[in-house]
Amino acid sequence: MNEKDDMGIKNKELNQQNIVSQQHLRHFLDIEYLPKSLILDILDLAESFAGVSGQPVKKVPLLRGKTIVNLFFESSTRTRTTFELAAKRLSADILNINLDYSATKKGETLLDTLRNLQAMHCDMFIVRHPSSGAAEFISKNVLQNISVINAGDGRHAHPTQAMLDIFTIRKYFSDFTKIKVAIVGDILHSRVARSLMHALRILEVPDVRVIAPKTLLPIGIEDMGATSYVNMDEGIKNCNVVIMLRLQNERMNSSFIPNEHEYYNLYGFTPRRLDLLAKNGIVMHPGPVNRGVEISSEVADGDRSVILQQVSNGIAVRMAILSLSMQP
Amino acid sequence: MNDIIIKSGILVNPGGEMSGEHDIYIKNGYVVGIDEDNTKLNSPIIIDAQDCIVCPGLIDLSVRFREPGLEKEATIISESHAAVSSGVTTVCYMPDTQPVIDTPAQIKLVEEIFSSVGLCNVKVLAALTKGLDGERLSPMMELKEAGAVGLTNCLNPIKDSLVLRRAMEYASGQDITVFYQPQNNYLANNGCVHEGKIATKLGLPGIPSAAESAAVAEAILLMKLTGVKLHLCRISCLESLMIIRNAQAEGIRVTADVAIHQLFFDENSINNFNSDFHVMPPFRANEDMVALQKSISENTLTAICSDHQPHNKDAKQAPFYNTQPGISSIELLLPLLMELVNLNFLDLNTAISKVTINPAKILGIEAGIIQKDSQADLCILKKEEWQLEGDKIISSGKNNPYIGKKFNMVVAKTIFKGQIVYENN
Repeated sequence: MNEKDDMGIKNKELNQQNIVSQQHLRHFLDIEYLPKSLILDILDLAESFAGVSGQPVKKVPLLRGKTIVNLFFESSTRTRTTFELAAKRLSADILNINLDYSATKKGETLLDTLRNLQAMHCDMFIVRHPSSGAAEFISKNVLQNISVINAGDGRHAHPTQAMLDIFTIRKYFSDFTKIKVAIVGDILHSRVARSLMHALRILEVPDVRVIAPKTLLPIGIEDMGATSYVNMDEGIKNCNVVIMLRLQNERMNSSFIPNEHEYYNLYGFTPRRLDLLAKNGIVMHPGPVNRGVEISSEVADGDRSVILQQVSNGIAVRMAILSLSMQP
Repeated sequence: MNDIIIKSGILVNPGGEMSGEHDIYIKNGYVVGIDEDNTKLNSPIIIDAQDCIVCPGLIDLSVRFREPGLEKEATIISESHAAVSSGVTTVCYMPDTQPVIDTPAQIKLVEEIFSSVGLCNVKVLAALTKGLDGERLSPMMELKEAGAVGLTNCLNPIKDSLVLRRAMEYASGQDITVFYQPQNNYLANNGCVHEGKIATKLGLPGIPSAAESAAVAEAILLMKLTGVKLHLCRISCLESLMIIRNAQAEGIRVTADVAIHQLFFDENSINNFNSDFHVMPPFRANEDMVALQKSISENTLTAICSDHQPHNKDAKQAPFYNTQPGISSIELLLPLLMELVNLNFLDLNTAISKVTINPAKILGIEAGIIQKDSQADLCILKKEEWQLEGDKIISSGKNNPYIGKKFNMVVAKTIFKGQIVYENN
């Protein structure tokens, strides 16, 4: 089969899946095929919602009467809570369902779980699932009036996290075409890294780097528009933005890396490394942070760190995405 | 039982002496003459095969008809109908049923069901290890005596190289062929797609080509050590091909096959998490597919099979990783093969040899050839454009990624033991 034609068809297909018009999203599954203008529109809308959280009455009535389900098949605190707050600030009713495979353990298939929830007349599913492609699968199997928001599927995508990251970056660097961005850590298993790479590519960031030991750098990552580095000092040199990824403990047991100590020395963000950044450079982390594993407390709590701003921005960005994706 | 005369067909018969335009006379299930009617046929059915290709019935080296144990997916009767619609008259049955085929009784059971269905032959590959557990040897001689034509562990892991060595050694002593599906499961590491750019982009756990090629190299070295007759199943990557080619050049008599879908798709097919393209071994990089296509005319890949794996709808209805691997496409084996000829990857005679005489030799059976006194298993193909429609699929498994594909050859009739078991309308 001709690869190029195939990809062309797929682009169109996905565009139709994600977008109904520039002002309206069908689902929000992945950043890969979003047009740049739409990404910027979402950021602008998020900007206007950012004010809501500062008001004495932290609510707007945009989604009044709508029911949103936080459908989490994998545990999460930050993402689930910020989605919940975003929904509440838009005046929607929100239902939290943490399945952690419990229903699956009872023998119910994912499709049956979905059908049951549909029968309860919900308007939107915010889905997190340990399998890559789960959000897309769910979006293909819901009723026409239901929107699906991807809150993280396996290693594949975490598009709202990427959106809030670029929202945060834009607060510091208004011109994406003039910055250098590095993503450091477990690229192989990271859905955040993948979504970020798509977002940065679409926003025409000229220099995107991924930094990791070779065991955590997936094959062909350069095809996604990044330069890979094994040496962190070289990789973060003169970067304006460094995004640190969480290193999960189980990676040590499966021989991806020798031990925490060596990892921290080679890839941890230590205070010394701050001097390597561009002078206005910032440090980000999607959380949860492993202090002393991938980042030192001095850096995480220091004045170059924007980690907590990312969390606050997460609410406004998710409000924007929810309001654009809700079906009329 | 009616006798049959197939008139004026173009005989494509790579294992036999006769080819070109001939009349074939069939009586009591056997070919009794070519061109000369030397016996008196009993009110024969005359099939006009002018401009049609007549070839031996196909031998498919790997099928799963799911019976016994998984009848919700498919049955021997449902899949036999699919098989003969593609000219397949002999199927090689994989032992990973429920229970596993690792006793003589299991072999007899399968043979009996096939015999009562009466549409095609079965040759059973029994389990190489007890329960396919990869640790304990199966009773190889008993299985052979019960009719097993070879032994395989399917894709189930063999515990370690020592067990593989012993299994090969023991099989060698009993003169039984080992059908080995090469995959180093440590390197495969529960992956579900080829470790390449698509795995990276989609965030799906990958299986490197080296998981297969390392196992190919190991198996060939152990073959040299043990003297076993070895057939390597479902080759999917360039490096494996190179290793096999080198071994064959050294005079090592290893054979190998490829699943036909590996010649049509590569990793890019699954770009949209399409679970119809979830297969094992996975679709590899484009250069692997191209290498397979380029070498299919050589003898490195001795045979082509359907690797038929029908599934019910639920098996493919989940996020990609959670779906069952496999494609249901036995009914397209011959049309797809003709497509390969059409694309000039191999000539007609070589193409037919990969699904008739070559697999017959690998299995050590008398089939795949049209000659006087051979069992009358054959297939008549005619030129006709058609398109695969989803609701016309015969197999119980609708997990077929070729829906919508156009073909230019169609199986007109399939004859098994001298009886017409399939006719295209």
